Amino acid sequence: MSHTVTAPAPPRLPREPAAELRRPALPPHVWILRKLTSMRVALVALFVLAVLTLAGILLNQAPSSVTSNQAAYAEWLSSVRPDYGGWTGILNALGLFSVFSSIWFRGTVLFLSVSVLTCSVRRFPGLWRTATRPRMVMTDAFFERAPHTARIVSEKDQGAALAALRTAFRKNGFRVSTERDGEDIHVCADRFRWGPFGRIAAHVSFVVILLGAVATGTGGFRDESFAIPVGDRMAVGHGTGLAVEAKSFVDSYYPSGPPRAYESQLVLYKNGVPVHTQEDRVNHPMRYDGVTFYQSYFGPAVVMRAQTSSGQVIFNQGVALQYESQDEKESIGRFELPQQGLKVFVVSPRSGEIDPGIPAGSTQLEVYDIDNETPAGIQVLSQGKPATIAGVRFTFVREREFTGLIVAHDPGATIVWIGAALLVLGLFTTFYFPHRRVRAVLRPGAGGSEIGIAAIERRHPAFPGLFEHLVQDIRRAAGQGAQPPREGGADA
Amino acid sequence: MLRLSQYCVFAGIVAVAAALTSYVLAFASDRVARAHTVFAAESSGGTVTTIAAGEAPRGAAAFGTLTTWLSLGFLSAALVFRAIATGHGPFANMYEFSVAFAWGALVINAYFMRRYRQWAVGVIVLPVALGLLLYSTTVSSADEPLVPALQNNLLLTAHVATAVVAYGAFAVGFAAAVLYLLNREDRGSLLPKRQLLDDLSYRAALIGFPFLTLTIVLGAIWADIAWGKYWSWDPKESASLVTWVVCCAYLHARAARGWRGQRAAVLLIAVFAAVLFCYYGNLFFGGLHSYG
Repeated sequence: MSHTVTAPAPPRLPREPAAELRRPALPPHVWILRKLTSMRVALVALFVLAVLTLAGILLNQAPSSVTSNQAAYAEWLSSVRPDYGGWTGILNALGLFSVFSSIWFRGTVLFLSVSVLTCSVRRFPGLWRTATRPRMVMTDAFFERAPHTARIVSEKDQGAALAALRTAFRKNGFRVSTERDGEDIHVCADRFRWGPFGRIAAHVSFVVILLGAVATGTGGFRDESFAIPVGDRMAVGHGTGLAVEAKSFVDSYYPSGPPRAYESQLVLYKNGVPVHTQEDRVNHPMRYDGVTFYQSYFGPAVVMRAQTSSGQVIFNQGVALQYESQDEKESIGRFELPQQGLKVFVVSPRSGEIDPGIPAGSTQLEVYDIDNETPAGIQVLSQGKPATIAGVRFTFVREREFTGLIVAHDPGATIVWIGAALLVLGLFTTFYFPHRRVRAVLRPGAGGSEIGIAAIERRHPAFPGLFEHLVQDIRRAAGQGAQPPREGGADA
Repeated sequence: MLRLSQYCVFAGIVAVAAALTSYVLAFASDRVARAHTVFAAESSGGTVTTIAAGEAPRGAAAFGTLTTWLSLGFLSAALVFRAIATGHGPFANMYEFSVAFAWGALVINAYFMRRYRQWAVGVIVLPVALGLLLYSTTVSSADEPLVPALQNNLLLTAHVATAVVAYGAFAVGFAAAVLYLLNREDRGSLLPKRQLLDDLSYRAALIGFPFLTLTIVLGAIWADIAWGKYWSWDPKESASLVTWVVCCAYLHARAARGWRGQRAAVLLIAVFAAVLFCYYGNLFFGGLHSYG
């Protein structure tokens, strides 16, 4: 038979604490400030950010080209439905197919930005005080009980010992401040006293980078399909007054097959005047007046001529075949004849594809009404043989190549680089140039002086070594009569 | 020169395997010795004498340390020969990066081996290095010429070299964190004291984090030059951000919330898992980093 012995149950606490024990509710602004500066909340936000970013990697993300078009987005959604089945609707409703522009992601980033800014603003005065106006006079108890302490008895008088102390501190990279307090001279020695501001810089950089990203998203321009047939000149637009002429394009390959280089010889015009010439290559973009021209893609082009029935030439230039048909077998280009109210699609088989309907040396023209998609005529044109469609005489003059550029003006990039520099400098300063403070007190003693040395650095494992080194230097500089540190003193 | 580089990699693999075997033997013999000592001590009513961390390694452990240094020498030579042969930093494909990653882990391990006068972390770092080196033997080591996007010798070298340091540091931090979790009772053994392991893992993260930041910034600068956009949410970019955010959380949790010991160790293991995801992720998710 067994007996179970249980401790007496503790008296039950009332569900509601007594009114006098209840903490008063915080005013909303204090509550918000506490949450903004709470490390616990910031850590949760960091984990949310990590999880959302992970979702952005693991889940298919809708390309930006379809997110702005409802029909295209619906089509994209149905293309991923086989992958996610019944979850498609839920993931879509949660915005997880566009994670990085979702309210969750943006909200978390915004919260973290405000949080780091608030914390930095709150910390700054304290750091500034510590760096510029340290407390100079310390008690005897401090020199006895600090985690690192040493005591040196010197034969030198107080003035000479102070000079020796200064020399030893400066030799180790410390800046020395002194203050007399009665007979005592108190010394405060700092190394890397601006180091903690690296933490402020690193935190503020987060906000600066975010501002840069916002400037990138809202200002400037970015044209990712700037295709120029070789020999033609195209206006950049966006009020820049710039135009680019492609003199040549060369794509070269290594004997084993991989691409070696894509190079476009470009001439840049500003208001019709040539201002710059450059060989534009991947990794060597052309930059002018804040606008950058990146070598991005290339492909076939055809030179088309269009004439009215009276023989007037209304179009005579290259058309870049930079689009693909849905079956990826044809390259398609497009140009417009606004005065005739026509848009013209030029279709050729893609490189390596054979289309019996469009034999080699010919191209297919599809002419539509510019407004209502009504086909005005479709005809295959042989090179050099004109054909009339919708009253316009078209001639396929010859084949060419086009060079495809990304043309961008990004006012946010500079801000991002400033933020990135702050971040890197801030982190390296914080981690590799930490603030070190060592204090000393010099007291006149019998036949010389007494030096007490102390520091409270607890966290850094290398600090005891530094302190020991410092104490030895001071002992050497302070001259004969110096005593070893007390037992249990400098923990070197 | 390429062949010489490969020979050095093979020699490095052998040296790493030898070092690992020696360390395992050292642990095994220590375990047996301790069991005998405990038995003898219990029989005589005495106390157990153990080897403290920080002492110079002896026997198999000393051989392990020697071969660890040897492997570092071989891999350093392999990377130098490879760079001379290819004319660019040895970081342009998965083969080169795997060897460089293993080298980074061994360099940071050697740094802490000297600084903390301990070798036991190598028991975890060496299998990581060995795994990377063995993986390198499964991918092409041919000197493929650089495609246009990679033709930026300065940024290729700087961007990936900083990644090698960061990843190496996180590998060592991971090793110390694992040993911390294994050394639950903190009884004397060849394993360093828990506090030392905790401190070492933190120190490793303090190297890894700024270098990872530098890697990401240099990557953004390169992306802006080569791809026309400093950030494209490419899977590898996003994975590096995940690693950065988790490590950022680790450092803040430790500095401001006082997370030490077990919780900190688990978080640091998560950081290394994110590093591996970042390292291999592009193989599964494609993206702009499809060549490396």
